[in-house]
Order: sequence, then structure tokens, then C-alpha cells
Amino acid sequence: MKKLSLLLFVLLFSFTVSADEEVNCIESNAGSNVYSANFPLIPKESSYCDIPLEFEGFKLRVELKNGVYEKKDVFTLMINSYIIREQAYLSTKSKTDQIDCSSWPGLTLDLESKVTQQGMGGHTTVSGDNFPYLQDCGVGYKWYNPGAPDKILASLNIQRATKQIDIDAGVVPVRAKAIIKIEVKKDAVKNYFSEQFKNIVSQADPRNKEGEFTVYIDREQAKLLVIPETVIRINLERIDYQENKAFFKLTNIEENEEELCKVEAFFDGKDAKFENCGLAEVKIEGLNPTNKPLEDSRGVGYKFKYFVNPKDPGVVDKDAEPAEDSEVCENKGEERTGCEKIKGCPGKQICKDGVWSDCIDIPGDGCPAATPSGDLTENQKALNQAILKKYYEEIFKVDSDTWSAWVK
Amino acid sequence: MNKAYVVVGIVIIAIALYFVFFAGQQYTFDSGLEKIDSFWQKQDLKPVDLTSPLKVYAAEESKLVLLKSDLESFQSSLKTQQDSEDKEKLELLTETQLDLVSNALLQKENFESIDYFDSTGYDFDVLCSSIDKAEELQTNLVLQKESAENCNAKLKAFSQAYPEEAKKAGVDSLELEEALDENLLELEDLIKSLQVVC
Repeated sequence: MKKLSLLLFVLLFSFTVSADEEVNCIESNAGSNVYSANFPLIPKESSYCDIPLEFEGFKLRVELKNGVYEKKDVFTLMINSYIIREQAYLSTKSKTDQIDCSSWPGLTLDLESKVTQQGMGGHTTVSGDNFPYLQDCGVGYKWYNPGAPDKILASLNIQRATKQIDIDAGVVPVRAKAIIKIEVKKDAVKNYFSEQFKNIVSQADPRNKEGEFTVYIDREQAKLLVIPETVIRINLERIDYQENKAFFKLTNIEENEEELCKVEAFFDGKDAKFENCGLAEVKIEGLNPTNKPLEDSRGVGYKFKYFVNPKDPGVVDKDAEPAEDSEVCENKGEERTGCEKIKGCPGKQICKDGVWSDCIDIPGDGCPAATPSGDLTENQKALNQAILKKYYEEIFKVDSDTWSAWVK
Repeated sequence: MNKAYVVVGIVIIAIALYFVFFAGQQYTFDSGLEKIDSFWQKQDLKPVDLTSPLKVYAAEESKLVLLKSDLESFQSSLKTQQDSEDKEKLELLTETQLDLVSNALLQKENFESIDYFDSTGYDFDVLCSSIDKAEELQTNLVLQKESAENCNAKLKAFSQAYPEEAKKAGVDSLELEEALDENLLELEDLIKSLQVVC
């Protein structure tokens, strides 16, 4: 009994004090660029393996760390990827360079969720949740599969343990293994350098603004933030929890909160695109890969990132000054026709405050065809009546009293 | 003899005209500021515009060059003025505004480099053949950062020494964005990496 206690103490001690542990990344076939590694299911500080890259002095480090039991039967592993460069090539930075896996478009990572191990004094199996963890890269250095839980789930089935194992304290057999297969695709490093250079130049460009913000679900506010150094305010219009989407309205703080544009953003960031917003184009991207709200010190909410790009000078100038033919007019109230069509009908502009108004519909011209509605002006209602009269009298051949009775 | 009187008379008139129209024009701070403002108005610009990267991007380079030229001429003309507190204020204001315009011109130059890289699509092979241009961008970003720091220091000094005048001139709360050191270091690091792998 004493021996067993001592052994358990040694095992526990080995978890708490040991540092990083290197394991081998083994290429399955020469030249295949597919590697596998056996990681301890409970890593020490972290366990890692290094994969040589196509350029001398550069390696990819795949690291497994922070393996924790969140609760019974649920086990979380964090997987990071780094590029390692030899010290000789660097003058200002440390040896390892942490790279967000999104910089690695050519890297795929396949975690085998089925792991088995031989427990001490008995047979313990650990089986995965059978989810195909063929990974795409998400935000924050995590690997995830869209739609899947943002963690690796494994269920423990302790069949025949001679001693009760305290899972909460993290004391589990050390020989449990997680097998990870890594494939580094050709040109991954080239793509990495291109992406990195693009990112850094973009960061160095003061015109390009980006930043993160959170929409807290328990304190939704209409006015969220003003994008620094711009006149653009991001306002939340609504959240659609069915569609997993937020709707934003961007306004100009210097022009009486005049609307610049509307931007929609899926929680998980899919289909994010730039919208024209006056002087600039703005994109809002969701940072919630599993469409679930995230928690921070201020509460639970959905995280988003905005990107602001200036338009090219030509477009800026065009937007800054109204088009020539719609700008200046002299006689207040004067009308002119021939502007762009409204719903397929000719429109008109009215001289107001020295400039031509936006193109508006010409009332009473029968175009577009009137449709009965409960929310119409008196003039529109009169127009509808006139059109209906024409229809009923000329087409349906009924008298005015009859059609009047119909439309009441 | 008569001719000599005529020549002397013309010289005297010329000297008098010089003093009346040139040397004799002594600016007060307000009249000098009016003159400086007219340079900006002529180019449809305001000092605050040059603290916004978006507006600098949209501003025509030719307008900035003309503005700089006008400010430099005015700066030269101030040198002929008799020493006074107003002269000192105007000299400091002109120098600060010249820094502001110079910084905007430098920014425009860097925008061109950045646009060049954008236009290449950041293709690896193109990057390898453009290391010189990347180094030039890095150098110019450092210059832009130093220029912004210098300009901000002058804006702050003027606003602290002459708060009323700074307000009148619309430079009391101006501040240029300085490039981030971290970005510059990353760029330097990446250029070194490219030199290794290209």
C-alpha cells in the first residue's frame, strides 16, 4: 500500500513540475509531408513536435497544451502551431514566432479522436467522440471544425481500475496518447510569407483600421462605438438568433448621425464582405466560430471585428462632391424629370436648398402600378381609386357604384 | 545736372515703395494668421484634414505641394520683419504647419509603396523581387514616425505656449498618429526572413 501511494505521489509530482516535452513528428512516407505524432493525453507544460519546412532554418512546431478535464467525460486539448526560426536569422525577436494558424492556408491537421491507453494495474480505454476533426483554422490559434464543439471530446471508460482515480485533480494514467496527423501542404511557407507581409504592410498603413468589439447579449445598445479617427459610428440594429446574424447600421457622427450604410455579420464570420460607407469601405466579421456567445470580464456576448479601408481617391472625390447634374440649381421648388427610374418608372428631382433632390417618383403618372394599401397618402389613395375605376369600368364592365362597393 | 536729380529722385521713390509694399509690411498675429489661412483655403484644406489618414489619402499631392510652397514663402517673408512677439508666434506656427504638410507628403509617398504591394497581390515571387522596395518602405515608415513625433511635439509646444493663438489657428487639439514600433519591427524582421528564403 505504501509503495502504491509513493508511486501515485511520483506520478502526481511528474504532472506538476515537468516542463515542455518534445515528441517526434514522424513522416508517414518520405516526401508525403504527412506527419504523425503520439502526444501524451495529459501533456506536461506542453508537448510539441517539430516539422522541418521547405526553407532551411524554418520549422513548424505543433504543440499540445493545457489538456484539462472540464467535467466528467469531457476533455479539452489546446493545439497551437508556431513557426520556429533559427536565432541566426533574427535580430529583434525571440526564437519562436507564434503564428495564428490562419496564416497557414496550406496546413491541415487531423486529430484522431480515438485514443487508447494501458492504465496502471488495469485496462483503461479512452475513446473519442468520433467527430471528424479535419481542421480548418479559426481565430485565436484554435483549430476547429465549423459546427463542431470548439474542443476535443473524449469519453473515458475506466473498465477495470484497481484504484479509484481522482479525475478532478488531474491524476490519470500518464501513458494515454493522442495521435495527431499533420499535413503541411506544398507552398505553405510561401503562402505564409505572403500573408505575413500583407498583414504587416496592412497594419503599417494608417488608413486601414481594424478593431474588435463585443455585443453583449444582456445589454444590447443601439450605439456601440465610433471607429477611431473616422466619423463612423457602429450601431446595432438587431440580432437574429435564428440566422446567427447581427445587423448593424453605420452612421456619420459629424452629419447628424446620417446613415452611411448597413452591414450584416454572421456570428461565425462567414460571407463577411465590404460595404460602401461614404469615404470608406467597411466590413464586420463575426469572431464566434461555433456561433455561440463568448464570455469575458464584462459579460457574455458575440465578438466582432471591423475592417475599414479607404476607397481610392477617384471614388472618394466622386462621393465627396455630388454629381454635377444633381448638385446645383437656382430656383427653389423647380422640378425636372429624366433622372434615373424608380421601380422602372421615370422619376423627377426638385430644387431644394440650392441642390437637386434625390430622384423621386412622379405621383399620379400611374407608374408604378398602384396597389391598395392601408398606409397610403390621400393623393395615393385617389390615384388608386382612379386606376381601379378604369379597371372595373373598362375591363370588368361594371358601373361605378358597383366597383365603389367592391373597394370599400 | 537735371538728369542726376531725376535719377536720385527715382531711386528715392523706389526705396520708398520698397519700404511701403515690402519691408514696411509688419504682420500682427491676426493679420499673419489671416494670410496663412488664405493659403489653406486656396487649396480647400484645413490643418485638421492632415491629421486624418483618409483625408490625406484623398488630398491631391499638387495641392499639398502648392500649400507647402506658399507657407515657405511666407516663412521667408517673416525673416524681414522686425523682431516682435507676434513675429515669433507666426514663425512657430508656420514651422509647425510646414511639418504637418511635409508629414502628409511623406504619408502619400508611403501610400504609393503600400498600394504597389497591394497591386502585386503579395505574391511570394514578386515579394522576393521587391525586397529593395520593402526596405524603402520600412525606411520611409521610420521617417514618417519621426516626422509625426516631431510635429506632435511642436503642436503641443505651440498650444501650451500660446493657447489662444493655437485655438484661433485651429491647431490646439491636433495630433498625428505615430506609426507603431511593433509594426516596424515586424516589417524589419520579415524583410530579413525574405532575404534568407528568397
